[in-house]
Amino acid sequence: MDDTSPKRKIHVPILTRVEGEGALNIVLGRDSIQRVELNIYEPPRFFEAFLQGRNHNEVADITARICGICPIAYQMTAIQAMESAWGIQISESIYRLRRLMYFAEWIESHGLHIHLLHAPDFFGCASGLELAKKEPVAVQRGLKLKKIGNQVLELLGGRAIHPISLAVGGFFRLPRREELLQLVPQFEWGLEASIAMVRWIGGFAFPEFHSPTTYVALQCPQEYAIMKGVIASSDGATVDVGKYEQCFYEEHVEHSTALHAHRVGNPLPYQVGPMARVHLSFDQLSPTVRELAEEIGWTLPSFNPYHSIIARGLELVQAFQEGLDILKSFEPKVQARVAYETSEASGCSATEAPRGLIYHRYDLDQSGHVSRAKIVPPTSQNQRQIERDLVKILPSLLSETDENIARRCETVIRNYDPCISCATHFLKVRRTKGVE
Amino acid sequence: MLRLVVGVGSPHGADQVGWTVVDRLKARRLDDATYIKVANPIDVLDCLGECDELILVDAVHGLTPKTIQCWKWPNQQITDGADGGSHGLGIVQVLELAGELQLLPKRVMIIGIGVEQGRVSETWMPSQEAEIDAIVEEVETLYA
Repeated sequence: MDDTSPKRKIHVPILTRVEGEGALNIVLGRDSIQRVELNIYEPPRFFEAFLQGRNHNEVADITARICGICPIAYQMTAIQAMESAWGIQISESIYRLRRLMYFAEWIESHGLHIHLLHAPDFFGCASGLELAKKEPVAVQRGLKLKKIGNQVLELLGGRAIHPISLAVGGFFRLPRREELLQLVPQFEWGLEASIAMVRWIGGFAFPEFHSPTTYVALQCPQEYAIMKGVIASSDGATVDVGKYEQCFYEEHVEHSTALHAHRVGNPLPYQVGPMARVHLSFDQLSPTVRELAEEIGWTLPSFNPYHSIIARGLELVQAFQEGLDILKSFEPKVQARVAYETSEASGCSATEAPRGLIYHRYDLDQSGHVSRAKIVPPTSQNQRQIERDLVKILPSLLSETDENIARRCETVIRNYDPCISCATHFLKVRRTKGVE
Repeated sequence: MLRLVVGVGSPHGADQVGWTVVDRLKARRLDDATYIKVANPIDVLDCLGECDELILVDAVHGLTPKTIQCWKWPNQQITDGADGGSHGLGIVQVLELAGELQLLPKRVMIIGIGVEQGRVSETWMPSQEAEIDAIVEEVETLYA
């Protein structure tokens, strides 16, 4: 088949059940894949540019607006970067409370994605609504799990959407102990419900699909890494967060308004997110979670991206179990916020957003205003791996109808729970046939 | 009767109309309804509880700006025309899901307030108190 051969062009103009808007363009020859492009067309939002000149106290509020699903990831990474710049040390108690807040975001995001966005694919359902007809108990469970995440964010953050309590040096306000203890019953229920959820997921029929990749995530020997650690990869390399920009870079591609992330000196894509975290920090998961993985027969390594729903489910159990410990043990008789002085400095941080590694760096002036900002969201790092998965799966779909190809490709993309709005770019599919 | 009035929106521009109207209704304290604000329609599901009546107040594109329309749910007109987008579920999808899960109260009403396309970044609302007051009073009569 040469370039003059008839081609099938598949264009999915709007991807469904993903966060944000993007399209998928596929050009197929008679028996070959000629082009696969994840086309993120949400307009660039220029957050990095309009952070310039802003006071550091505004950064958390501004970056939270990047995403309504994962504002904590943006706020926490930004605040940690500025604390790093000025050498601010927070207490262990404040760190644990922030970790609980981060877990709440995972609970909300994972709970929603698993039940309403991802699980429908395993039941042949086009939507969460269809799944609700088949699996009403599971969908109700998902909604209740998500609600618990919201409740924690409302308590710790002041409100569930774009919380306002996180501050450089700690929190603007700490919850009272009795407020935290009121959440214990919900977390006890959430722990049992999430364990049941993983068993439910374990019964899914997973498509056979093997797509080797390099997993990249934070890794910390003391805990399941979310907010600190080194950046580790499954090929054995580790790098300090401070050297992220020496080892990773972004480039613009014509077909997407999102930047594509690369590793320096390595042309292959890499993958961030729950699969990467579970692979790189399996030993730091609780015994309950590890036993649950064994119980459902999930063994590592796994390079089946459809298994990401298992990884997400296990993380949900970890979040409830560890969150329960924090709720029960937190003693709020600590200083909410440590004092600090601004200076001309630069600082960076990486944390684990629900969808994977997120990196921020800020250059700050003497008065604490931002002179330069850099933000690398998870989805821009996963885009190349998503395209690679699509290229890998398409040969097995060539005999399918356009509609089926589009549907299967969307399931591949949803494995990554991509957040297009965060990446400022993503997916929708329309398919046409003709001669290019 | 337990009435739940939910403003759907955000703090930004014309999209804040649902929140503002609900704030004003709550301040008037003319009934013992529960008033809440949500940014994501799916969060309506968290609030349904034991209410007998659900009233949703939201900005709507397609209506003449600053006019009000009321729909009783279920309503084929807004079901057919709904486009919830891909960033979460829209109000119609959320109501359908709530219905499927038998979470909806017997009476559900959607009150739409017309806003202009592309006016999200502008602030016609708080600066024009008289217009807001008129909208609030009209909304109140719709479910009184």
